[in-house]
Amino acid sequence: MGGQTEQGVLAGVRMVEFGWAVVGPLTTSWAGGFGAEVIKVETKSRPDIIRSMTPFKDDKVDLDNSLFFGRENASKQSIALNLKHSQGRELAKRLVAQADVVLDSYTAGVMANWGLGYEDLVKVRPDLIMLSSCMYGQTGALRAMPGYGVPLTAISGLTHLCGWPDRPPCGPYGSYTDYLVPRLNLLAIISALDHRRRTGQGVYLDAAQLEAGVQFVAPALLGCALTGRAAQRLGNRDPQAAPQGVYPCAGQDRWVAISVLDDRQWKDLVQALGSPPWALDPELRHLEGRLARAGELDQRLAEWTGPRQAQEIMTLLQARRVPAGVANDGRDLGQDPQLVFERYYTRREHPVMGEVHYAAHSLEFSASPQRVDRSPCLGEHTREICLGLLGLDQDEYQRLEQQGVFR
Amino acid sequence: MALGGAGFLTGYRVLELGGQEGLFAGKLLADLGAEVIKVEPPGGDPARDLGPFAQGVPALESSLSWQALNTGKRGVTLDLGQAAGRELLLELAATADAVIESFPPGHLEALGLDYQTLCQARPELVLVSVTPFGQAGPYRDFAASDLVIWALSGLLYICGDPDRPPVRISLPQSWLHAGADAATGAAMALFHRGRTGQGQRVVVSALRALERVAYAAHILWDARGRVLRRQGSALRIPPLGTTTPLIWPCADGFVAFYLFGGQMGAVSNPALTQWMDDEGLASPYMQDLDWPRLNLGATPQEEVDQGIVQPVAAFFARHTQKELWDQGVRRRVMVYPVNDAAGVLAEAQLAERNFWVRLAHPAFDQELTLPGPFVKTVESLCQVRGPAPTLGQHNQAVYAGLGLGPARLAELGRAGVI
Repeated sequence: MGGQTEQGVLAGVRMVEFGWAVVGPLTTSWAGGFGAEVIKVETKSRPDIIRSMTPFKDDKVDLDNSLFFGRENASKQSIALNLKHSQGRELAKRLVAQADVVLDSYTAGVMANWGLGYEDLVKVRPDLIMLSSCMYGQTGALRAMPGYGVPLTAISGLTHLCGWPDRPPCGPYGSYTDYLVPRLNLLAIISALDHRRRTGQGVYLDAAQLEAGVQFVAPALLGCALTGRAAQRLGNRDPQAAPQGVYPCAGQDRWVAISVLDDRQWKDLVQALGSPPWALDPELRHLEGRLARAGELDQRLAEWTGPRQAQEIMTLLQARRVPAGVANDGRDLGQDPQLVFERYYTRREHPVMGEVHYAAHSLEFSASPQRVDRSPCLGEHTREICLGLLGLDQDEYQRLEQQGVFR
Repeated sequence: MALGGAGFLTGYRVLELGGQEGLFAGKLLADLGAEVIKVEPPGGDPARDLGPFAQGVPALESSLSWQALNTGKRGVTLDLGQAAGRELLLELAATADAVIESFPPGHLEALGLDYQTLCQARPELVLVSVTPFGQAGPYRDFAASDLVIWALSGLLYICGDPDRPPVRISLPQSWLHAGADAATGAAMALFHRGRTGQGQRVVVSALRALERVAYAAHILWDARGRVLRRQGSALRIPPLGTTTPLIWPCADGFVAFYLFGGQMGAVSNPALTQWMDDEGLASPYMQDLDWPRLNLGATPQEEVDQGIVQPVAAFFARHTQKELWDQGVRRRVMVYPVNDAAGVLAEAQLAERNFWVRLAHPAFDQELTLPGPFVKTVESLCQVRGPAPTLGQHNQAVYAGLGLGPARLAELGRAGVI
């Protein structure tokens, strides 16, 4: 157990990203925060789609002004290579020849059509680790089916489980699977790096986003395969916790989440409520009794929480070790005492957006701190990488620029 | 499918201690080839009480969460409340490369099993702690549940129908996000140790893991001073705030389809119009639209509703989920089924990729069907390697490996240490 060093845990690892939207870019962005050198290959003629997605800083639509892009693309460099141009593809290969890891998040077949498939790239880098993360995997009838995170959440079985039993599913916000797939992608890449360290061998990783997504409903799949019955959405209820719900608080659209996971917590909750007569019913001392009257308990709790501040309720219940938490909104997050304590958001100066917050990864290492740097502008590092890593001279660079290789 | 064979992390031994927060981490490392030993209290791990249950009845081996999140692990029992148990743990730690623990912060220290002590048993050990709120800070000792993590992470606030309270997914998710990160933390620290000889402590916070999922909540406030609110299954686009559905009823369930404007919709939307036209259901508005130039946010709500949303809804309502999905694939229209578990199990693509794993387990009279590996390689370096351990299943094998003879094991058994 050493002291702090300035080196990230992935220092010395170089990754080249052929990614777009969230899954690919976020995978490498996290690696960058842990010290990997990440180079994102983009084209000005066809930029990463999330560069044109809201929200934009001050509503100004500009490829370098999307906060969405920024949040998922911290800690990396950007090189603008036109992959439709043979010289662009040649430079991409030269980049890969000097890289440890290639990440591709295009639909299956796109990289191979450019002559940048694993079979092509392994020729220039024999111990290459390459991960391809498309919707359905590199094989099978759906291999080339395009998609994105929102419907993938639906097909993975997650959307069906989010919402109220008396209503159609509403699904979790946005592209939920886009934020679980990169975790597993990064795990696969790191495992492959360590495998290569120990065996000298590279590997090709076929990471189907669907196959990652369904891991998050595994108990429901197992249950359905055994009984033929599919789990249904329960609102915020849980067969093993009662009361459990999200209750209204003072203010506009303010809520607190409360869970009573065991009988001890119920006893403490009753005390926190001031031991009102309804709560002293012996039937409620045990989970079964509380589950049977969950609707009534929800109503009673909502009456109690209604006039109170969410923060005040959380503090009161947590003092008795009853699970309770404010439903933080976007404003609260920046002031949340725990996130502030951890300096979870890093403020960085961006040349176009100005000062913006970047979020960290959930991991912290005692000896190799995470460092979140700002997101790059499109092609910001093209010249630097060409003249440096790729060893072009000024004349070559200018000639290629005139030929449109960097557009 | 053959179980076993080398994996990415073959040769590493990982101990897993604590509750449900660490289960997925251990399972993933086992899939990747590490030898993962789940250490349970002699009466059984608290995670064996997690629903849902086979036949709906709680029993030692009937938790489906347990069965799903402990595949490929070895299982031993050990009472860390007894001095002899703690000594045995240090002996186990001396043979391990990493420990994953999810006790409440301070619990290991209170047991006298703090990181320094563990490192005396095994220098350069990697210790990964995965908890709701990390190891320090104002929430350190907060009581948590999956729902409470959803709330504090900002994700809950933006999920659900606007006229009801915010709502979560009805299966715990926060431990899975944090567990995946914990596995990554273990792998990174082992990689780093391999290169530098240095072990380290890794801390994972479920709160932070889930905050990432709420991506737009914080940035919208930070940069625009606007609070993002839940919109149900619809997307609202500036500047006019035109809202279109994400989830649509079909003849026998629901499908997910989003009417992207611009380039994003350039493939699906004209193909859908053609498909509707084939059935005489395309509106003149849709037929005449220059789809790549459609700017949904700048088109009035009424125009979008009448011209596109209503005819599309009528079209979807005529067809089953399967018809829409199969035909959609053929026509490259991105209309996807909102699957329940049965729908996921029936996905042809997963069968074609030989994804599902079927495992025999002594407590079940039928085979267990579980998701296969989260990533594929030609060499199957990641694979599900066996069922979850029964209580104390590997006591004999693991403790014998420490040199404990049958007499000593029997003695520890009598004392309730194992």
